[in-house]
Amino acid sequence: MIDLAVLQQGLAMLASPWTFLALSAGLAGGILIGALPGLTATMAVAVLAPFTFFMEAVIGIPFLLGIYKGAIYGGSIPAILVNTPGTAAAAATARDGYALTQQGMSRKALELSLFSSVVADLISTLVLIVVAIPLASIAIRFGSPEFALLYLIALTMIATVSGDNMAKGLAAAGLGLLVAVIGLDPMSGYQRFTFGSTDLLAGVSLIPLLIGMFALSEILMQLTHPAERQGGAEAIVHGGERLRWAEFWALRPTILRSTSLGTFLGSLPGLGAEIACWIAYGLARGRSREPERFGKGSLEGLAAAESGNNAVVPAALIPMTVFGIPGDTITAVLIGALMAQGMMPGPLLIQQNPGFLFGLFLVLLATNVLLLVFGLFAIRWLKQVTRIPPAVLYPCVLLLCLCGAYAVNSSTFDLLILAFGGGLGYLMRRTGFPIAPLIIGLLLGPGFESALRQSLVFSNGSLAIFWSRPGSLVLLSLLALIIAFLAWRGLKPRGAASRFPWSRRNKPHNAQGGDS
Amino acid sequence: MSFEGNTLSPRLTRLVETLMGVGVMGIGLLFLRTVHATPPPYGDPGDIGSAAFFPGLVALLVSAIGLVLTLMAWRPASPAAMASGRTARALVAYALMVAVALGLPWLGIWLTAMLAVPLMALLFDERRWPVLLALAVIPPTLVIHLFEGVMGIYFPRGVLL
Repeated sequence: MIDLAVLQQGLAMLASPWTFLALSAGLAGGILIGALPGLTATMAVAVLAPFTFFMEAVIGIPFLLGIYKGAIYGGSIPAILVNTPGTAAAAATARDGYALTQQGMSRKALELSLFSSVVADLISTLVLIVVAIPLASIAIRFGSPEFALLYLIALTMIATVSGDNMAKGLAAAGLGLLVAVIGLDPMSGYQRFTFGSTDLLAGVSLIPLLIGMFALSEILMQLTHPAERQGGAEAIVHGGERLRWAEFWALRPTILRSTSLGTFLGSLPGLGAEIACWIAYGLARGRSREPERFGKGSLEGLAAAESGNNAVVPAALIPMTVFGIPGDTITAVLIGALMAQGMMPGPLLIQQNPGFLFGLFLVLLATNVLLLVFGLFAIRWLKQVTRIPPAVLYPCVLLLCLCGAYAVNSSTFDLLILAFGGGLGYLMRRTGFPIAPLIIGLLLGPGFESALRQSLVFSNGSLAIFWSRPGSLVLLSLLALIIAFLAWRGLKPRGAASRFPWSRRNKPHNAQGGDS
Repeated sequence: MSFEGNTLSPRLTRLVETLMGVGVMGIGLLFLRTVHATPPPYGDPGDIGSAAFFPGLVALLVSAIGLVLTLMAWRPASPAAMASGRTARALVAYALMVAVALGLPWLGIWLTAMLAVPLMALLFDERRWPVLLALAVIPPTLVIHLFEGVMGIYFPRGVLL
C-alpha cells in the first residue's frame, strides 16, 4: 500500500528549487571533475562531501549523487577526445572512442557515449526503485546473525575482488576493521586504542581519512607517475557527423545487455564501474558480428563500455539502501555523508525516512534528464577543460582537501588524520594493496562487531546460531559458495585469468589507482 | 635502489613485499599485545562480552594474513612487477602535506595556503613566476572565502600573524 504522505514528501523534495539547484550544480561539477584526467569520481565525492554537512539532507545528498553520476559520465569525454580516461571507469571507452575521434567522428562518439549512459542509468534506476523496497522488507526481518553473515559476505567479496592479490585484499579489510575498533566500545563503552587521546574517543574521523586516502594519495601518485601527453592529439580535428537515430537504434541489444550486466555487477558489493566497463566490453565483443572492429572505432564497443559503467551507479545504491552495505568506494563516502546527516543507511532508512528515500529515487530519475541536457552542453564546451595543467589543478585540489578535512569537525587533529590517510593510501597504492576493502572494513566494522557479539551473546557462545535459523543458513550457504568459487578461481592457472580484459596481472599493479 | 626500466628489480620488489607483510603482521601483533596486556574485564579476548573480543579476533587474523604475505614474498616465482616512478618527489610532496597539517594551527590558513599551493605547483614542474604568484593568491582567496563566507567555517589565524 502506497502511503500518500510519503509520495507527497518525495514529490516535495523533487519540486524544491534548492534540491534542483544542488542536483544541477553537482551534476555540472561532476561532469567537469570527471572530465579532468586524474580527478576520480571517488575523489570528487570525498572532497566535496564536507560541503553537504552544512546543508539539509534533501539538498546535500542530491548534490553528491549529481557529482557521482556526472563524474562517471564526464570521464568519457577526455577518453574520447584525447585518449586519457578522466576516471578508471572510462578506460574501456577510450579504446573505440578515441579511434572514432582519430577518424574525425568525435561528435558521433561523444553523442553515443552520452545517450548510452543516459539509457543505462535510467534502466538501472528503475531496477533500483523496483528492487529496493521489497528487498528492504525482507532485510527488516533480519536479526543479528543474518547481519553478521551479510557483513562477512560483503567484506569477503570486497577483499577478494578489489585487487589482484586476495591476501592483500584481506589484509586491507582486516586493517580497516582494526581502525574501526579505535574509540569507545559500542557495547560496554570502554576506551579502545585511544592512547589517552580525547580526539580518538569518537574513533577515527571517516571523511578526513577518506579525503586523505583518495585525494592526497592521488596527488602523490600523479607526482610519481606523471601522465604522458598523448602523441598526435593536438593534430586531430574535433567534430564530424552527428549520431543518426538508426545507428543508435541498431545498438539497442548491446546497450540492454551491457546495462543488465552493469546493473547486476553494481548491485554486488565490491564490483565498481571500472570492472563493469571491461566485462561489458568483452561480452559485447564476444557477441558481435564484427569483433575485429573492436578497438578500431566500433560503435558497439563504445556503447557497451559506457552503458556498462553508467548502469553501475544506481545499482550500487541497492546494497546501500537495503542493507547499509556500500556497493563501492563512492557509496562508502555517501554512507559517511548520510551518517553525518543523522541517517542510518539500510532497512532503517526505508522505515524511518521513507519520504526522503522516495524523493531520492525521484531525484535519480530527474538526474537522467539533466544529464542529457548538461551532457549536450559538455560535448560542445568541455574540450578546453582537458587542457588544465596538473601544476594548476593538483595544488588547488590540495587546498580543497585541507579546508574540507578541517571543516568536518573544525579540528586540527583531523588534519593529521588527513595526512595519515594520504600517506597510507599512497603506500597501499604503490605496493598493490587495494584501498576499497580498508574503507569498507572501516565502515562496516562497528555494525559487524555489534551483530557478531550480539549473536554470540544470544547463543551463549555457540556458533550454531549461524546455521540454526533459515535466513542465516541461506546466507551461510551463500558465503560458502562464494569462498568455494574464489578458491576455485585462485587455483586456476594464471594464464586463464589474463583472458579477461580487466585483468591487471600483466602490467605493474601499482600503475592504477583502483577506484572509479 | 636499482631499477629495470620502469619497474623495480625483482630483488627490491621482494624486499618491499616482505616489508609490507612484516608491517601488516606487526600492526596485528601490536593490537593483539594491547588487548592481552590490558587487565580484565576489558582485556579478556576470550570473553564474548569483553570489549577486547572483536579486536583480539581481528588482530589475530591480521597477524596471520601478514605472515602469509611475508611467506608469499619469498615464493620461488618472482612477485608481480612494481612500478618505480618519481618516488623521491612524491615523498617531498608528502613532507609538505604533513608540514601543512602540523603547521596550520601555528601559521594560520592564509600563510599556509599561500605557501603550500605554489610549493606544490613547483613540485609539478611549474617554474613561471607569474603563474606561481597567481596560484599563491587566487585559489586561497577563493577557497577560504567560500568556506568562511558561505559555509561559516572559520580556520585558525595562527600565532604569527
